[in-house]
Amino acid sequence: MFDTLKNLDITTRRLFLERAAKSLLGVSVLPALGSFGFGADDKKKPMPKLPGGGTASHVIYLFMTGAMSHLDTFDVVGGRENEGETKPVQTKVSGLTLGNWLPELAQHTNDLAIVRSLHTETADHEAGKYLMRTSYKEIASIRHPGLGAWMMKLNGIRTNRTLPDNVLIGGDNRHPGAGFMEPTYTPIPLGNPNDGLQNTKQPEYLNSGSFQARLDLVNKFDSGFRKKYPQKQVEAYTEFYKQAQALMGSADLKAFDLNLEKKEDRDKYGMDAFGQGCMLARRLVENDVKFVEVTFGNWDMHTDIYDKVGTNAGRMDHAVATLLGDLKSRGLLKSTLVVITSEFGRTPKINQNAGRDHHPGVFSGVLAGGGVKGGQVWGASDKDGHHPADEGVTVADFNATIAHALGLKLGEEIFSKSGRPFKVAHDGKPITKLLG
Amino acid sequence: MLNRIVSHTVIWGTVILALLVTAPTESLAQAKAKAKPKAKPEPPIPVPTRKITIDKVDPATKSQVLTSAAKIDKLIEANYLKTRTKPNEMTSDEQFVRRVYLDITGTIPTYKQTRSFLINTDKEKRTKLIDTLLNDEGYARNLYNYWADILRLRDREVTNNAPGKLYNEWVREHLEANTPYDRWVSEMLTAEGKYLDNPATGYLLRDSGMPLDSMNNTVRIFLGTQIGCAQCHDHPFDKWKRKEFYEVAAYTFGTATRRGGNDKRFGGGNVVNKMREELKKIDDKFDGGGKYNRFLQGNLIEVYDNGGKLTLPQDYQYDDAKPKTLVAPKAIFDPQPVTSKGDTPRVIFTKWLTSPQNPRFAKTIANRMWKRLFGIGQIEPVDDIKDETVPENPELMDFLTAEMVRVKFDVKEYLRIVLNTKAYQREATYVEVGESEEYHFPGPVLRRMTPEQVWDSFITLAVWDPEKYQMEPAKVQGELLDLDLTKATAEEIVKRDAELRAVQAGKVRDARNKDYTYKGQLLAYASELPTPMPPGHFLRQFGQSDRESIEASSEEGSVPQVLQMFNGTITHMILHEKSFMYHTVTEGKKPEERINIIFMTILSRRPTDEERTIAMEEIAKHNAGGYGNVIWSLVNTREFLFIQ
Repeated sequence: MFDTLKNLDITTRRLFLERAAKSLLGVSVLPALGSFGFGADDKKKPMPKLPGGGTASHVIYLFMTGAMSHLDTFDVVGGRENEGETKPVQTKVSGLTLGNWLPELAQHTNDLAIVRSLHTETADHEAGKYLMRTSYKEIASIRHPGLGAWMMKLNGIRTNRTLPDNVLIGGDNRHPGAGFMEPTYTPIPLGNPNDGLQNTKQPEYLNSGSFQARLDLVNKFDSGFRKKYPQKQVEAYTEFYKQAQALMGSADLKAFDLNLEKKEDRDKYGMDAFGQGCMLARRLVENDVKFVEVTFGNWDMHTDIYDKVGTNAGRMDHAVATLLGDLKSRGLLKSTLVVITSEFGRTPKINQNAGRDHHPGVFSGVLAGGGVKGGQVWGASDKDGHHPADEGVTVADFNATIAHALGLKLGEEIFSKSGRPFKVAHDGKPITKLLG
Repeated sequence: MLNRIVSHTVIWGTVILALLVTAPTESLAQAKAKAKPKAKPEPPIPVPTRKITIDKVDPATKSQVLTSAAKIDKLIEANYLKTRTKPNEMTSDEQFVRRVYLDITGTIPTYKQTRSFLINTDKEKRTKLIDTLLNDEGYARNLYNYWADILRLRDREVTNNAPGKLYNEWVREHLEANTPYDRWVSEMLTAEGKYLDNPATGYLLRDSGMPLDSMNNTVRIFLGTQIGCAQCHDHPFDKWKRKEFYEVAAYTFGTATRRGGNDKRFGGGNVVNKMREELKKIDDKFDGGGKYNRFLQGNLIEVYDNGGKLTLPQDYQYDDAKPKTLVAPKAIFDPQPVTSKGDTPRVIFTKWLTSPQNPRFAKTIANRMWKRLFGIGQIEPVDDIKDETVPENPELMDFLTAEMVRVKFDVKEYLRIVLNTKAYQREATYVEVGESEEYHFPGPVLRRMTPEQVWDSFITLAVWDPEKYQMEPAKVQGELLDLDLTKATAEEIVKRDAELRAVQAGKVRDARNKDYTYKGQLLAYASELPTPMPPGHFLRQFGQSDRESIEASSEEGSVPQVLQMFNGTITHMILHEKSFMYHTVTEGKKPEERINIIFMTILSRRPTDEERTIAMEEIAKHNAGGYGNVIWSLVNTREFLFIQ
């Protein structure tokens, strides 16, 4: 570690020492650092108050799957050999530049906190996505819950609501969902935002007796099987039946229906699936849905990156800028944390096929709204965009920052069925300076 | 299907029609006929099909199959003793028939199939049914869905400007022909030539432009080994060094996947640009853009060895070699490859990979196929074997691997052996299989059906003769696309383009689909639908892979699935008076008989006394509507979705 320290330039070294000192002095020592063995009693003690925590109540989590190139989007500083065809554009914040594919977000940098020194070890998409969503490495013996499930679990289930608290737009089959937690925390997946939640109307063709009577019949026919196989995978369906039934006929279903939006408003987000997904996320948050993830694919640009990145980044730019503006004008930005992230970055060197390959060494993530102090950049990549220039931010740290913004207790342990303890952001420490 | 005349509507039909708020949907052909009664009848649109030839099991090897199955049971039972595991009860015929249909053909059995098995008194009926099903087309459909998930098969394109259907069909045909596994894998890995002439090149094209990822995927899929981490740094949890990754990748690095437009065979200049200029002269609407790319670029897609050499990356960080130095190919396991004169590095690598001596090739496929039947592998995960990995039952794993080699990678014969074991034919385990404790195979685990099994089972319930529907054969497009760019003229391309548009026209699709479409949904087996289906389709809701990552299929539940079963089109279809379900049920005359049929059709079992009473009450209360309620309720049970 001290070797690394020696190699750092003076400013980063000072920063590093400053933070190290703070942790030593207890400013950011959390119960999460549980290696000292916090007993049950200790847990009841009030936690040290961290600055900025807890002002966000909702999350819109935008996941760029396939790995977004940091060097063509949020980590474009100009004058670097590896920037390819992407040019830096000046943004509203003096000295802060973005890639030229993001002209609209350049007008919103006052609200953005850009972390440029994220890094992980894995260059495998699935492993990277899993880590990003759960803060834990994927292993065979257990499945960890995603952030949305954690949020519901730690805040407690709300009653008297038919709308779900955890929604996944754009679908991702390998999403960790509720992991080992109860199925009730599973996000509701919506494949296509334009379709909203499908099949919510009771079958008109079955009009003999009530829907409830038919469900009773289901339960009678199914009782033998359920008794015989008392397994989570079976009981999960029981939970989904309950949720599905609650949703059917609920007036709240309007929240899922983009057709209720004006055409020109929909156009502002872009009529592509991600644009509409962002708009649906806004509608859901407006209806008090707590955690909405929108996934946006096609970032895996191994070939001809400059034929492709303009389209993808352009859509992202358009949709996210509109989303931020929209949340702001509705007074929702303060309480809604918007996150842009990806499983890793892409190689600084352009490959022989004019593309960029997988690069976990360093990449960028963005936070906005929800009490985040905008207009700042945290950390930096080195001169080649290869590694963090400072000690870097781990995925767990990044997620701890999100959890902290939401006021979740980072140290609270939740136990899996086999008794193993897990925490919302694993061993991550929040970057409190990103929060206001 | 919907045009069929159902003769049994007398008893039930009028009442159930009253239940159906929507009138029976007319087929497109009927609607058109009404709209334009005086129009000249158009000549029928041809619907080309592909001849499917399914390889049959060899009756002569039956006794060997049973001997091997008994040996497996012996090894498992020895382990029961050692681990104090109590084996599950043997399945009832009802449980067995449903499971074996799902496991082999990918769908629940029909009422008739269930019934004929249950009343059969032949002592060997299980072994015989296994053989019958292995000889059924459903075997290849089901196995194709499995490989489609692993190989990330997608129709739209295998790579830019190359339709995936040709490669997908190539895989399908090898599963139908039951080509030995080592052979079709070899053919894919060593394939050469233009994609449009040799669709086996599709495997390498799927990762076109990503030679390192391609190697990573190959080792993961066929050797059950993860070396991906070592692409960037020494593997943190396994022994692989970054250098070793590069060494094995060096075998296939010199494989090109695209012929340049400037290749000298095209007589100087870029053939694509030249041709575009020609095309502009005869097509006023052509702006020089991508319109003809499927011909111009598509015919340049070709796999060939270009002798390219791999060097270590610029950021190579270890002491065992210097950055940017040339890497000599070396395999990751001994025995090292045998180099024969004239073999390209890719051929050398493939021979090594698929050799019976390779310590993980036979083992991986034996373990994968074991997992398909038991729901859990001897080794888990199936694609992350390490040196220190110990199978649940090492002797058994060795025997299974040896059997795979003995049957010469005849996967069908291997499955036939495992299907005949007592262990497979035991009941599914009742209790939850835990996170950490080892599973000793007292029987298979309880599994939710795969997305394709759920869909195909609904198709079995709803649709008449679903096996008669076939997707358009790939060659329809393939033959039109295939051109020799050294000779092709602009006129020919314009003509082919028009022909291609004609075969892709909506009316051609309608001619194929008309009898299998209900409320805009094509009701055909999953293997005959485009792959992957769009997000939001039933199959995707139930977890079909998006085909972006290896084995991304999921068996998790969700709210949209439940809503789909409650209220979706296909549930509606089952209750339609022209559905196969309706027909099956109305073949019974008395309520009791019909209740029996309903249970046997949906759950492949007879109702219990209590269930019969409940169903009778329901029917007494609501008459015909009661049948609808019982059917609806049974497809909405968890029992329906799980394989016991």
